[in-house]
Amino acid sequence: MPKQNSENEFLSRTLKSRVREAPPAPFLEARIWNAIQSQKTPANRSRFWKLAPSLAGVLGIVLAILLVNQKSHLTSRIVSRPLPSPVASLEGWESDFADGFDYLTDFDAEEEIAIF
Amino acid sequence: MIDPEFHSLYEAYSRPVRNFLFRLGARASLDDLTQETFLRVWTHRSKLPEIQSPKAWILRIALNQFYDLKKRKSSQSTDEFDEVFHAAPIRESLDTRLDAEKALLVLPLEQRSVCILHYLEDLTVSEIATALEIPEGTVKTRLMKSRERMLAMFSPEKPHAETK
Repeated sequence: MPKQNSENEFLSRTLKSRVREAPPAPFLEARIWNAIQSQKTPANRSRFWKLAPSLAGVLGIVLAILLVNQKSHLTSRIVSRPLPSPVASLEGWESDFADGFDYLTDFDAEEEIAIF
Repeated sequence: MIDPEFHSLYEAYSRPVRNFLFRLGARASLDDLTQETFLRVWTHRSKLPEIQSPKAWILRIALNQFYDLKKRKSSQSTDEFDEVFHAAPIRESLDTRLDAEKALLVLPLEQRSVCILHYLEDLTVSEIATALEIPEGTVKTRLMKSRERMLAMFSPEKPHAETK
């Protein structure tokens, strides 16, 4: 134990006398204070602006999705609207034809001439 | 205008922090590391009144900054103190100061940090253990290993040789 103490003392003394101290840095304090100040204000203030591009990106994507969704909805509505069917337009032709035929068969030339 | 609170904090701890980082091996980035350390200290200054040994706490922050720098630099496979270590013999081969510094830098970082905190910054074993969040036994082991290595490097000037 005494040997260890003397070794400790020796090492402490030797190192303190032989190991240099750091060179002085006269302007470092001001530099650090400036760094603290700049970290305090612009960094905190600019947190929103740091996030702004990401937020804008997300917002843009959401808007794009909504627009595409709405557009496709409109398109589907237009496409799904029932077109006038040519078959449907011919429906009832038989009765029309029969009416016309009846008119023709009931045609009385003399009566018609008398009218004119 | 520098805040008086920051000024007193800087006045009290800037030299120990800078010396500690310098002795750990920081050279070119010494000012940057000091700045980062004080930025963190300032950010967490509300904890200071509760801390038993503010010096140990601040030196721990400095050590963490040093570790972070080493991690970042390890990808580039260069080491600040290696440059000094290799360049030194050319400039000051006969300088005993440099031998002592080289002896410190040869130690693994865990042993070096404990050695500097104990022998140069005069922190007690329990203060070092608290600061580094390691058991006192680990501090003692690291101190013992570093002492053995340092004494081996200073072999011609061992205490028993001095007393004779």
